[in-house]
Amino acid sequence: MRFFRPVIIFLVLALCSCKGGDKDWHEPQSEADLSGLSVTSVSGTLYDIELSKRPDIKKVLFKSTADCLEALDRGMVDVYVDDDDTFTEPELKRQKLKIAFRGGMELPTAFAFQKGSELRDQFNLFLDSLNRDGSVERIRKFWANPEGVPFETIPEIETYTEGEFLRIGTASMREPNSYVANGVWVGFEVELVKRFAASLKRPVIITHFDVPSLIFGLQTGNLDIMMGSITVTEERKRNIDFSEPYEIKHPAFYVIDRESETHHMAFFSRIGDSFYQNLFLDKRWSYIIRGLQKTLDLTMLSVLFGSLLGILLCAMSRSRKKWMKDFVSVYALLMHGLPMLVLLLFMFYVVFSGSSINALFVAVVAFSLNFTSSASGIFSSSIDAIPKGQTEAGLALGFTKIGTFTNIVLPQAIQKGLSSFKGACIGLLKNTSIVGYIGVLDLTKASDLIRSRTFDAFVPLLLISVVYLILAWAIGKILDLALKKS
Amino acid sequence: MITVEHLNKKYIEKDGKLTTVLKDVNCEINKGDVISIIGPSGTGKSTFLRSLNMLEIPSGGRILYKGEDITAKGYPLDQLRRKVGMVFQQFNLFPHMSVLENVKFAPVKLLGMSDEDATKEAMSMLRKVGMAEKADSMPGSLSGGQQQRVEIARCLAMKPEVILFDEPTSALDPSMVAEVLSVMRQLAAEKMTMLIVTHKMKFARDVSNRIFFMNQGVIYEEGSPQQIFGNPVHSATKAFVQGIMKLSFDVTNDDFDFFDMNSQMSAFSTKYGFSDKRDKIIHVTEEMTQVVLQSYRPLHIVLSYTEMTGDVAVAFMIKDLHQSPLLNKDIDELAMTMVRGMSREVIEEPTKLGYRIKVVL
Repeated sequence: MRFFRPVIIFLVLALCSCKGGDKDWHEPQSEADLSGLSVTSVSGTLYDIELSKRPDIKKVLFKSTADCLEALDRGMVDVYVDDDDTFTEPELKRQKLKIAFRGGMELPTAFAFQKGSELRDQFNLFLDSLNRDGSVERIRKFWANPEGVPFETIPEIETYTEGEFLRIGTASMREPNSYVANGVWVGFEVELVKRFAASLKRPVIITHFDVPSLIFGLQTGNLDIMMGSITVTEERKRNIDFSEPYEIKHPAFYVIDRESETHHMAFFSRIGDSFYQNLFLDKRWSYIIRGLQKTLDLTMLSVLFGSLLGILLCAMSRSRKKWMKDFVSVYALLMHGLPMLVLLLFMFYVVFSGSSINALFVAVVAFSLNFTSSASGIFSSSIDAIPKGQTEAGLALGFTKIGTFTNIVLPQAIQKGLSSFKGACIGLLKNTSIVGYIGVLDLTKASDLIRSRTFDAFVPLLLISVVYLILAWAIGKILDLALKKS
Repeated sequence: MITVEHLNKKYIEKDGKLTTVLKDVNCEINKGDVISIIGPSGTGKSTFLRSLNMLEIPSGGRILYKGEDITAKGYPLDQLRRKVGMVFQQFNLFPHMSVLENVKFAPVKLLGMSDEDATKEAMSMLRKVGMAEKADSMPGSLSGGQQQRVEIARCLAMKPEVILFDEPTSALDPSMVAEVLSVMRQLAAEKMTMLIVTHKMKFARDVSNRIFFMNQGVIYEEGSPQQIFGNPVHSATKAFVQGIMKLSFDVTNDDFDFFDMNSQMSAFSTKYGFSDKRDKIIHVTEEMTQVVLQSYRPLHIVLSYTEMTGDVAVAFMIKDLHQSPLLNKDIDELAMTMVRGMSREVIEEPTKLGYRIKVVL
């Protein structure tokens, strides 16, 4: 019974949170009606600033659209404010949302560049020429798909593999501007930048970041172009340059559609629908597979390089030279003290800043450096745990110093240190879930990507939780097997 | 076979103090010798033994093995150690290998023996030490005595020319000492060259052809067991082999703390198991110091206990005196009669330093 109690409490809480209480509800029709309501928006956006000007509104901020919708769905907030093109019609239906009213504010949308960049002028010329022959309108129509079925192909554009990469960062993984379908970046904005790159005869690389990281990336020269329904604001203009706007948006105030069919759908068919939406529609499971691949690559490479460097560091810590010992202790101090995320960001934005090095590579470097310190510590303490008499016995039998170490001390040290090493590997695996911060599409980021399109947290998170658990279990088994073989 | 010349070992301790473990060790070890190295603890016995296979690197002097200087820089020590086996106090078996694997590991790895040959050889060595039955056991499941016998077999499997035993029975439960010593007796009978650091005097006397008595970092006295145990030249050797324990005091004037002396003597007699004689000791000492030899100061008092014979004696020594004080007319005859009555024997003898009266209880 004691075991089930937390489960029951959890279920009760979950049920309560699903059924938001229906108080006296008057749907707001204008901005004046918002007084006294609680309104949510994505933090750091224009709406964040605009809402602050209204003290009569209770402002609730979240990091992503998906989180805002979750809050709206649970009845924690009344209204969600965002651009009026945030959702397609079918999406609104699926999310049981409707637009209560549109705001009067005009929001120009444009591409952003580094301050004083020549690329901006080139892009403006390019956009102007497309505007004149009506191409922009044609492309927009192509992607503004009334049925809401995601496009799986992009109209044929010449691609280049040689030359310097045009590094694009996008803040959006949403239709119709920029999103991933079948593993390829597509959408209205994507087509525009790809055509632009083709006109420069340069290859393109597109990565997803949040807006603050994108602006930082532009400023440090890690990125060439920033896009993803970026609104031109006076504040942003101080730090970055914008192209000519290609679209004018308006704010929209979203509320739950209480008459919608989805709202009254049965629990199990909702779950089924959720699985379909999150995994099978548009082959979304393939993100998970590719994310898994990245997570595995990152974990295995970091364990490999970290262990090799760890051996070196362990040897240095046992050396007679003082400077070597000092180096190891300073290194260990640094790695113990720095949060992994800080180290990762430091590597990405400072050490490898401005270079066109692959983010996965940067992640492997950062995680290897971190793992080196824990691995060397584990190696060192496992060797120390073997009594001195073992070394003496080996020497006395006629083994050389090295022979004694490899034949007698090492096999015992490996047995001693294996469980800590396993723990460190699993810790590393779990730690890799932060690489999304520098744009590596790992398992966690893959679930984020799905979540940002389906606005459903439960299924993607449940799925990757299961995958992480299986991986952690498998790492332990593999290491045990490797030990048995040797 | 092994010649040791002016071997010494010093090291600087953490507090910067220089400690000399071996001062100047010289000896010649011949093929077939069974040498027991005895002596008080902390006199460098183990350090000397461990120098012979260079587990301990000497600070000075030379060790010649069959004429080759093994202390020379760059001498292939791993080759030397294959011929000079060592058995440790703590056995040091490899805990992750079975008994059989422990024994055959080095022959396979170092002598290039085939697994089949090495197994055959290892089994015959294990049979020799009576451990063949446990060939597949792990060391952790064996008793100390069994582990030590496996250690000897492991050492023998390398076909050594000499075996160094570093206190092979010191870490053992008393009930297991005999099984290890009997294996060593058997080896000695087979004319294996052996050097044994040991505290087992009876074993050393029975099994060795030579005894090294080490004291204060040198080989203090060397000889056959008969000589060392029966008729040692030096008094330190005699005290050690006979197991003489001493407790001494200097009474310089009458302010001496007699109560403290009494309690120390009492503790000493309890420690060595002759507390039945405690009252006699104290009584005799009191009569002698405060009545009979009242006018003789300074007075050197030694309480001694001989482990071998169980004798307890109190000796009173008066410096620079050449004739017995008991001949003096002023002596308190009554008190002296009491002392004689309590003792087995009173020995009056002149020594180099002065005159000694020894009361054997």
